[in-house]
Amino acid sequence: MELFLIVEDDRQIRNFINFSLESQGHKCIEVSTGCDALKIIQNKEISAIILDLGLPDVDGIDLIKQVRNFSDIPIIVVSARDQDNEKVEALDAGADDYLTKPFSIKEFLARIRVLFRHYNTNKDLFTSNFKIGDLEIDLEKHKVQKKGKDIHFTPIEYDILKLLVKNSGKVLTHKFILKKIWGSYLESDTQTLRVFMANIRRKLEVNPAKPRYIITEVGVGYRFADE
Amino acid sequence: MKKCKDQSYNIRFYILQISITLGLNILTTLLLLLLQHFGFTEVNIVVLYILSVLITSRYTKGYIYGIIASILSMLTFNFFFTEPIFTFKVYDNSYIFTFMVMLLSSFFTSTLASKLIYSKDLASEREKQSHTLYQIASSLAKTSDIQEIANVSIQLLSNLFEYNIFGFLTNSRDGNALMLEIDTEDSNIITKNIDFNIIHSTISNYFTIPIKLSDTEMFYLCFPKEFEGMSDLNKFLLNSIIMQIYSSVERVYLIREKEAAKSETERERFKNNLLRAISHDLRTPLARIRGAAEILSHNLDENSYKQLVSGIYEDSTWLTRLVENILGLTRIQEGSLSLSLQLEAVEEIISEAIHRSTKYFPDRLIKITVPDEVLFVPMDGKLIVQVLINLISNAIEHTTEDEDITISVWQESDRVWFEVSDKGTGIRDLELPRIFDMFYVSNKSRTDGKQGMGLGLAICKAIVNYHDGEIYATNNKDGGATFRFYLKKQEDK
Repeated sequence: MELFLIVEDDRQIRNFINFSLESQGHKCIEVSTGCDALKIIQNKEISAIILDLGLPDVDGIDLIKQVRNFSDIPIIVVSARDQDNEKVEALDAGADDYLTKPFSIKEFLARIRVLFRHYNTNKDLFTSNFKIGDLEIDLEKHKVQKKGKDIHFTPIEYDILKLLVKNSGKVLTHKFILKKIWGSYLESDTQTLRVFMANIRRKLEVNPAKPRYIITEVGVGYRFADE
Repeated sequence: MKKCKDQSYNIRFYILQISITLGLNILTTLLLLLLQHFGFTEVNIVVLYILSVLITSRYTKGYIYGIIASILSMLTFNFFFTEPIFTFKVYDNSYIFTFMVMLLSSFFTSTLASKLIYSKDLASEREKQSHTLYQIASSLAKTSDIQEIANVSIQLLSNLFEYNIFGFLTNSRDGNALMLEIDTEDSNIITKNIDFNIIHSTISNYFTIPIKLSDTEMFYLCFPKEFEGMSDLNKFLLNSIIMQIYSSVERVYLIREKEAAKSETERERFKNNLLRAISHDLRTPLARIRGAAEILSHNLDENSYKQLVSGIYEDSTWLTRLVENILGLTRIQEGSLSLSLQLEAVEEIISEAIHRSTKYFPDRLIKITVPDEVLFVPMDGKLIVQVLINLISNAIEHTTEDEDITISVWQESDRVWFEVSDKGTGIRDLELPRIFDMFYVSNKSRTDGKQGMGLGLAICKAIVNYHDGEIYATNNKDGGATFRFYLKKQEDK
């Protein structure tokens, strides 16, 4: 059982998020302002935050930044804003995932499951073996196998894959990936990243246009699907 | 009346000039007779006569009076001062030479003097003219509409020619005609509406200058008939003023056009913002409805209730798609200003589109064929995803679960083709030409009570066209419909 904090000024949306989480056996605290949210985050052991960006008192993105100053609890943004740059801004500020309203409850619950799995494996520093579907990735031995067969990756391809796998389930923005792999970020480099992603996908996926593992969030970034 | 006044003025002017000439001559002769009495020599007499001619030239206008004065001086000199006195005869023939010299020198002095006076007058006239032109230009520059230009030009021209002229402003489109007249008391402009037909009979009785303001608007300036024979200088002045009026009119039209364009864009932006705000605000209630319906459909036991609730869920899904389409549309409309095309990998676009459209229909299988090499195409990724979602949803709606849907992508020279094909009901031939029309919903589906995707296909077309591409719909020979569009691989720019 986890304790969720729902920060949302719309009562009905709060209600059904609460309802759906409780149906999975979780507990929820509901608040409608950013100030109340901060108080609760500082005083209680919260497992994850469900955050609406359009709050009456503060901007949701500022709230993410404030929370990230002292805590790395998972934050899922739920917003009616669907502009790519706002998504990217929220993710770069430290949000773990982003759902655009209206969203399906099924998908919402699925994202939460993924997030916790990822959050818990990350805590366990010694995990270096990932098994997802037909894939087997051994980070210690730098080995990737598909259906028991070795797949060869160039060093950069491998680094990107490693980054995605370690953050599986989480949307990584282009900026984040570029900074982690190349140490710098230029808008024009996104193109290079796309080429690398296409190559990785060709090695991993049966049909690159219907990827099983690496999901593209157009205009935002990539996500490694671990279900 | 004015003409009479002019004539009498002229006669008085001539009389004055002649009396100056005669008077000066008489005065000089009397003075000389007095001086001779005191024993002055003849040389002084000649010099004084020349001086008198010079003075005459100074205070009269034109050569003629100087010449008259020269001849008069010579004659009076002959008459009063040479032997035999009081006759025009001379005993000493050398006087003839004196007369000639006297005549010539007075002649030259007088012409020189009047020439000088003439150029001085000309210079001051020119200065006055340029001053007037400057004043006119600056008054016209301050005007901001056509009527004001007309008012100002009538006032200025009336002042300049010292005659109350009048004008007409006509608009043949709405048949409006205005007469502009100067109020004789305070020299303001009086405007009154008049019958369009009166103008033509009026202007033929005047020296009228028509100024074309636009295709339908005219401005007539009416001067009295005798202005037709005005001096070259005035003609020149009038022409320059009319040029000034033309350029002011042009300026006013440019300002008007600019403002019209500005308000047009503002209206467009307002409409767009409104549409976007509404669609945006719809999202939250839609999220509530969908969320509630989804939870209910999972938790209700009785089947009939479950069906009702899943109906609500499906409708909210449909509305969600509509809202997304409207938002997409507002983005392209705005996009003509701000959208930037980026190179996107085609396979990523396809996968996102499938991922998102099968979210609504998770049970459907879609076949995909894309080229092996990575294709990068300049586009707004989100909008093209929207196009594909619309086409896929459309295909899903018109097929049953066991009918195939295929998506293919291929390159053909500089075009990259996208195709969504299904084996469903197809499009009726009647509907084919109109299928991309805005708000067109196929009749068949309307009577079926199904909601159409009318707006969806119109948006597809708008988005594809925005990318300089083209979209086509055809029926397959073996059943079902195919939607196909291409995007240019390289940007032309």
